[in-house]
Amino acid sequence: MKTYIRTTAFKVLAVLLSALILGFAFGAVSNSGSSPITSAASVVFSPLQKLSARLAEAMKDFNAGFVSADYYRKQIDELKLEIEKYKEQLVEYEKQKRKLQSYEAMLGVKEEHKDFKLSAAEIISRDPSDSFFSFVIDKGSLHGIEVDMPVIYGKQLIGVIKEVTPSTALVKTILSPEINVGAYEIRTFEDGYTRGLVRDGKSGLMEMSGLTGFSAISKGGLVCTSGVGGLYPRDLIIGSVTEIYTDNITTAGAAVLEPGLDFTELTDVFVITDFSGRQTGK
Amino acid sequence: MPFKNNRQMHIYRAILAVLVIAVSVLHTTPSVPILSSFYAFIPLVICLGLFERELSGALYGALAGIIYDISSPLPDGFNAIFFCLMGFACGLLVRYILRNNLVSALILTVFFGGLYTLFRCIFLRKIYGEALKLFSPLALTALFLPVFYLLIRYISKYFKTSDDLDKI
Repeated sequence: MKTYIRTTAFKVLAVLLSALILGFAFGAVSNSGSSPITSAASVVFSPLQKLSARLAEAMKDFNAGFVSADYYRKQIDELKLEIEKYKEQLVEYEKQKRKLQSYEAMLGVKEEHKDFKLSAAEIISRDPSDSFFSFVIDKGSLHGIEVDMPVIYGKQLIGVIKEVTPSTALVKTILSPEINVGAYEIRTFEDGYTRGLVRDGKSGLMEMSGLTGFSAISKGGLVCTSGVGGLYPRDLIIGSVTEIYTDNITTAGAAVLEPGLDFTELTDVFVITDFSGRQTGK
Repeated sequence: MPFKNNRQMHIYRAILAVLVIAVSVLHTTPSVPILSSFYAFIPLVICLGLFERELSGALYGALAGIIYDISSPLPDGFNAIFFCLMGFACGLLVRYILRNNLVSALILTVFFGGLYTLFRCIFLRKIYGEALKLFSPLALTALFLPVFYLLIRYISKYFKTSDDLDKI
């Protein structure tokens, strides 16, 4: 042992250890908490460590590209499911949005016509072969729906209930020639009645008849319900005037109207179950 | 001198130094799954001590420890001193008591690995349950020992002309 202490190896070790201990002791009492040895090593080796970390990161991505096809497949499946979920949510969102718009419209009507009793209904089916866009709503006699009740969307008159089952009701629109509605033009107060018009094989228009040959109604005039007959409340919008003509034989005037809404895009409507001055058709 | 010439000796020592630096750096590199899961520098320094004896073992140990101290949560300088002493002790043991073979390396790895883990537990103030987790890399360290042992043995045999390597 004594002889070993005298060897160069031991002396070198003693010097090395002393240097290390002194260096680290200095580091322990210094403010930085790091010894000069570690600081120097950090300066020398940190670029190497940075490079190593970058390479490792690059290799990680490289490996992932090759190794985990199964992982990607799983991820694609998961994402597909997620997309489906979001699609469903989007559909629901659109539905709710439309419903909200329709309720906002109803609120406006309700504020204006406090006497109206409204029942919200959803359009559940349409007959695609019907040129006058009749439809079926999800409310029937069980919900207090009766024949001849007017159906609206906002202030726009859509049609009238024509058939009622306990849970559904068929609505015929004002575009149908069967439906006659007492009407007046809001600027001139000229009275008449409207019904669906088929011209050149095309539907989607209405005719306002019963005008005089010297009618002051002009193009763009707004036509509303007059409330005559008690089936429809007054001041619901029917449509706007697009054309005026006079019958050469009878000299009576008539106006062609178009509704303010595209009836094919409706999804929700309101049935006016009661209003002041209502008379049933019975 | 076991080397053909001085040039061979310098290349040999440079290769070992690069190996120590590479293992120490890779051990502390994130996203390197194998090397960072066990104490890679313990078998490395032990093998260097066994093949290079006490002085070189101490120097390589100090180098590995200093690099590891940069990112180690242990008190600054602990790794440098521990690995320096470990390399020295291994060199000394193989000079006077042990034979340089895989079994000796394994015994030393388990002993110094256990001691190192114990110090980690003390310094990091791990509670008993967590302290047990610290011992789990020890098994992996022992498992990877032959890789380091055979690698350094191969390098030594390649560069050295005469040594007690032939007796292994």
